[in-house]
Amino acid sequence: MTRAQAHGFPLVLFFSCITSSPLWGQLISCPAASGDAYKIFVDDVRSVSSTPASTSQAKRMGGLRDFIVENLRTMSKGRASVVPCVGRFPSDASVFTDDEFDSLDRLRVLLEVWGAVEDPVREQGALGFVLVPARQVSPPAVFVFRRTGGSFLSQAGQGAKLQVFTPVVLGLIDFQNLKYEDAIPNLCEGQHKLTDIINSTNPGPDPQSLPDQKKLLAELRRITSDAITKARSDPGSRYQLLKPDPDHTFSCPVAGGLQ
Amino acid sequence: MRTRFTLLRAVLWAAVTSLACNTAFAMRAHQDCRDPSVFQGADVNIVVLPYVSTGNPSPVLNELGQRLALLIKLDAFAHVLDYGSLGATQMEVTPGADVDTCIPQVVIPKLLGQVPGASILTPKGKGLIIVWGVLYEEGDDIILQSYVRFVRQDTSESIGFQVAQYQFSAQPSSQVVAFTPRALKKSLLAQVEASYRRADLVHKEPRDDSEGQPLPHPVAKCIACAGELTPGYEVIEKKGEWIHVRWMIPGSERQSDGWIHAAGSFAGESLDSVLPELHFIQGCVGYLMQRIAEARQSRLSKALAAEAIGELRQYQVASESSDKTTSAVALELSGIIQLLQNGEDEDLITAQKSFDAALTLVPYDPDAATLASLTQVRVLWRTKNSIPSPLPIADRLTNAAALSLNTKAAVENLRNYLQLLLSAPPSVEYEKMPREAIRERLEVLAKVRVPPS
Repeated sequence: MTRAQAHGFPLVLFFSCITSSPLWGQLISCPAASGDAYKIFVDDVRSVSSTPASTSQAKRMGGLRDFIVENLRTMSKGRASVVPCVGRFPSDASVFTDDEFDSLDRLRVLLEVWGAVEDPVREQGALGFVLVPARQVSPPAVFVFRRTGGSFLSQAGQGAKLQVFTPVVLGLIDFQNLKYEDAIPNLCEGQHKLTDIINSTNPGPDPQSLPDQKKLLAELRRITSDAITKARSDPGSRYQLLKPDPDHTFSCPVAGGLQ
Repeated sequence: MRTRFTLLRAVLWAAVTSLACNTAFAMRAHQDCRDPSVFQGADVNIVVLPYVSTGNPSPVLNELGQRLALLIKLDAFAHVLDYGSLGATQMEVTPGADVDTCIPQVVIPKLLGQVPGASILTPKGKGLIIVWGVLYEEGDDIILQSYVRFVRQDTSESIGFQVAQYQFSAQPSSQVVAFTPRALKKSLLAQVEASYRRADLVHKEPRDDSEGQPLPHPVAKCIACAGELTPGYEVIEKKGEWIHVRWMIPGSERQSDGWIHAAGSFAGESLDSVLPELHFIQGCVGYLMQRIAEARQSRLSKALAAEAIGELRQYQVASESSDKTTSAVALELSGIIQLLQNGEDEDLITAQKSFDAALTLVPYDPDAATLASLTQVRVLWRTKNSIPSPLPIADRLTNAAALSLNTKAAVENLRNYLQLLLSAPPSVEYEKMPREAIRERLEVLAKVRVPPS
């Protein structure tokens, strides 16, 4: 660990939707994928630079990936299991085509995670996340968090916030399966936690990432309102207890702070 | 290295006894994950899984992760002996073995009897605390992140409230918590090793410089030896960081005794100052003990309740800024312990403060809202026999009913609250909530379909 890292120089995790991306390795099918349970695919960590990554750089990125995956798995409360996909690594964001999403969806994959060492000299790397159920509502549903320097501890601490992806994908998958009453608590949890990330002052949101975070949040709000509206079409739904906002949409109920 | 490894693999294997004060302790190390078990006679079992080492192509189980698990178990156990009937087990597998044999998703269902595979299950109503985590090594640093799940076998963590003739219920926000990642210096491993060696030795006197010998370790042979004497240690007393143990000498009917230095330390610091999550675990033991006592129509002593609350508060103070959800759960558990004391005004008000603080941290959480609201109802009813401004609480309980994963209980809470308001004499008028509005809410509620819990 360098002196700068040890002193916790600002961690930079850029959160951005992939619109273009360098060419990486080939995407192969996950060798271990089978069964009916929901899954989190964990792909390889590889170097995508012409300068080979050192062992320690690859190790660091792999460690960060695994810390985040354990958070994601724990947050799923038993609904998703982790599947290591040895040898799988996305060549490019474009490999996540509609067909690839359909394939992941058929395999009941909720999330796919990979790591890349992009510039070993500048200590730059990226963690990629595919939110499979988000494809329909908020394409491309592929997010990359870039890291440059910073201590592993601070990166792991920030990475823990990405657990927000678990309630988001669980809420979205239930929404797509028309289980509106089941979807709403997770959608709301995802909304609140994403709002926390956006409003966080320690560290504050990265200016480059803010628009993408806000876009996802806006989509979640729209879907939650839609889910509540659809749940209310059942006269026996508990969501009959909620009242619409003045614009006839519904917001996530917030229990605290009313007094 | 070989010598050290042998030492590290030496077995600390403690068993159960009933003492004159009806106290039982048990401790076991190096239990094979493929055959998990707990101490059946213990009210609360702490089970620590090996920390999984990350940063390799795939996560692996290695020696460091198992050593950390043992130290965490030893430290937690040594600090909770005052509670009485306890078991502590450190699980492990051969280094390099498949991680999946020792992950919580595999071990917990076995220990709870949801799938076969455990030689001894957690008995009904008894508490289980599972600790696991991930670690990363880089240079002189070890970064680790811990997780805890707490549960009572086949028993809900729901807590009952009675106000007038109406029953209410609430529960903690979560029974699974993720702690914030922590850093340790690798150079402290020497101290860890020293702690380990102290823990693996039994001394004649409670001093590190007294004569000591490695603990006998017949565990590997006897884990599956049905009908044979259970190898282990009876804990006779605790003196500071030392516990006095007695055991049957394997292969004979003779007993021996000695002292184990159970509370390890890192470079003169206590382990829980480096890992505040140990305070949470210690407080969680107190919480489960309180709930088990409650089921027996009893309660923890004031001193033990204060100890548990103190541990949970220590965790919360150390972690509130970095770890809102887990800090909120710590506040909720301390509030529940307070609530289940003798229910005096002071206990209620202190509990209410804890629940309000938890709700501030997680304002979207329906369980946090329910705990805070129902305690407020109980305080108001006790002190004023009325709820002068009932609308905010009605809104909170309505929102909780919309979001709670336990729909039946949440809807029942709302219904009973509205009926409680209507039960007041007709002369009582409520601010911003006329009786007609209450009846309208009840009418909507009557149409809500409630799934079985």
